[in-house]
Amino acid sequence: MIVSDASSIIAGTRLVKTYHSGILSGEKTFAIRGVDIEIHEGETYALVGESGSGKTTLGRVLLMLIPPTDGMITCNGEDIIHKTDSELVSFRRKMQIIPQHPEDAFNPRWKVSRSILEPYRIHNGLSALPSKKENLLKLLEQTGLDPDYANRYPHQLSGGELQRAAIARTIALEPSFIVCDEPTSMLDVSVQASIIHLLKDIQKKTRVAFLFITHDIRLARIVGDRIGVMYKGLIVEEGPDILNNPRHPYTCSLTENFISKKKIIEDYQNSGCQWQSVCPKADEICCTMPSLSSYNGAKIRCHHLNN
Amino acid sequence: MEQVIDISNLTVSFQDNGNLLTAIEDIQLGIRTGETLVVIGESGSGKSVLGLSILRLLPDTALISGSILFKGKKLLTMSESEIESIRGSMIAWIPQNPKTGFNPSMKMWKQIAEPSVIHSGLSWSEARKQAIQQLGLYNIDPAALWADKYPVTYSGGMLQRAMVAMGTSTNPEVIIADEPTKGIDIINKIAIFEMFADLKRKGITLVLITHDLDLAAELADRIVVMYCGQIIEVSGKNQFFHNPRHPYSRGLINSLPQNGLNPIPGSAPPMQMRLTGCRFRERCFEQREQCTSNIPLISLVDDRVRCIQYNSRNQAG
Repeated sequence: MIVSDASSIIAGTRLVKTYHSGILSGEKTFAIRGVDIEIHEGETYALVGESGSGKTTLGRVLLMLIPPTDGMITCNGEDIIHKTDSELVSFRRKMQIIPQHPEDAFNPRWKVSRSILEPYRIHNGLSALPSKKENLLKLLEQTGLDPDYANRYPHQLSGGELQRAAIARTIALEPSFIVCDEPTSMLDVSVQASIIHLLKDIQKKTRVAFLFITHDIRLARIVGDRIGVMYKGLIVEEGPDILNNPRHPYTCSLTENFISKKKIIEDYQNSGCQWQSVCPKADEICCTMPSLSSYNGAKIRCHHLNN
Repeated sequence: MEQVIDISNLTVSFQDNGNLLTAIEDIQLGIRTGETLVVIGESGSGKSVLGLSILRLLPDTALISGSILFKGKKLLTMSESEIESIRGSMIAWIPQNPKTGFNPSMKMWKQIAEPSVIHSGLSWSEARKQAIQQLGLYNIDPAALWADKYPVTYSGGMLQRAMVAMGTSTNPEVIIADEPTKGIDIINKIAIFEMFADLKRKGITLVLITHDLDLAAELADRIVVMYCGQIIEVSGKNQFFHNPRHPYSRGLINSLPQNGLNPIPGSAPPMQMRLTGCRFRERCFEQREQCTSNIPLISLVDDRVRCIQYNSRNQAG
């Protein structure tokens, strides 16, 4: 058993998620194919990858919103895969998610205040709770929302305001780990900037760990303390500076905005490196799966590191 | 320079519980033949309403004044049958969300063929061949196979390309696209950029409505910035990205991740609470006394800007 070091809030080991489709055909879709990931206190891990690479699945698996097919997840060193739903409740308090579409994450018939305070109703074991109103005002103030907004319905708020409300609800229970699933991809650029600043402020105060999922490489460069690049269900490169000094051919193509038409129609390779069909460096050895090896402070999954 | 669409004094408002809400106000804009004009602005700035009013797709409840000329013809006052013959054939519209832009129970080829059957008088079998060609042209391979599938089987990027295949099947002169890259990842986005670049090379006039500054940087000839229903800046691409004139435009450029992610303070007021005078003044670092008076769109050589600073400079120089 691999024991993660003490400072990691959440760690996933050899995580696999497979979906079966078709009762007779028995087709399998590999959403994630054996991912090791570890996120520390106060750290932002930016996960980059194109649509369908498995970033959202990985985020949800780490929160146990989707049970993994195989692998292990530890939260503060404790295994959470084999826990029952009721045992998981106390962990769920510590792990939260900020959604991509805040408009879908609110009950349209509830006032915003009721949604923001919902976590307190679910986790009623909280002791020494100050009054509801005090809590609400504190959360609204932390997220920069006008107290008047609490009495409105979700459709009366703009996308940016609603995302702030979603963040208020997320931080209500003072979580130690938050999955931010493309929290700004639907927002205007100026609003995006203010939401990112808000998240960073919260992190400074509470030392919360973020898994920041995005497809915007420039944004990942700015927000990520450590960056992981995901391709077809695998992390192919990971490190603090990999977007400025990419080594993996796939990361290079992402940072150079290179596009291959072939890749769009290419399906999964049965074995070996998934990038081999379009990789300029590919040869026979790429038919076997490269392992994630350490290289200059980063980790990389490629056979051709030295040329 | 020749103008294919000429918009003057265009104001669109809506009735809401007895209040008159003005979505766009006094728009003056000439769209030049063959140019790519990118309209940027945040949600609620009125950019989609502008696009919809060119195609006369606004609901009947909208109160519209002013005029829009398409090659000299008055779009706003012509009969329904006349606008039908222009909309979809000479001016194509690519709607914001490709997921809801298709009929889910109709095979893809039929949806792409439909405009050619209606506007160009092709038979269904000819139009089917053309539809498959169109799909292939936009990299939906193998086109013959995908033509017989339903929209649900397409990915987001493919739907966006299929939407363009449909919009361009009648060889329009102008294409108006609303947020063609919203929520699309970088790799698919580049494919969409390339697709529009191809259309641009063919000499089609493009009006791209977006809040994606990458799209503007990649494709625009000129950029129109909208804020709270008004045009506040019209500039050439280089001018806009290297030396934006309006304080709001500068704020947008500075809020990009590569420029340090500096937010503009505050937020745009809702439609019912618009300021008189400069509508941006409460968020502006360069606010001064004169900003409370109404400011016209000031002409500067080829560009225009709605900011008092340029008024005084104009008078001085």
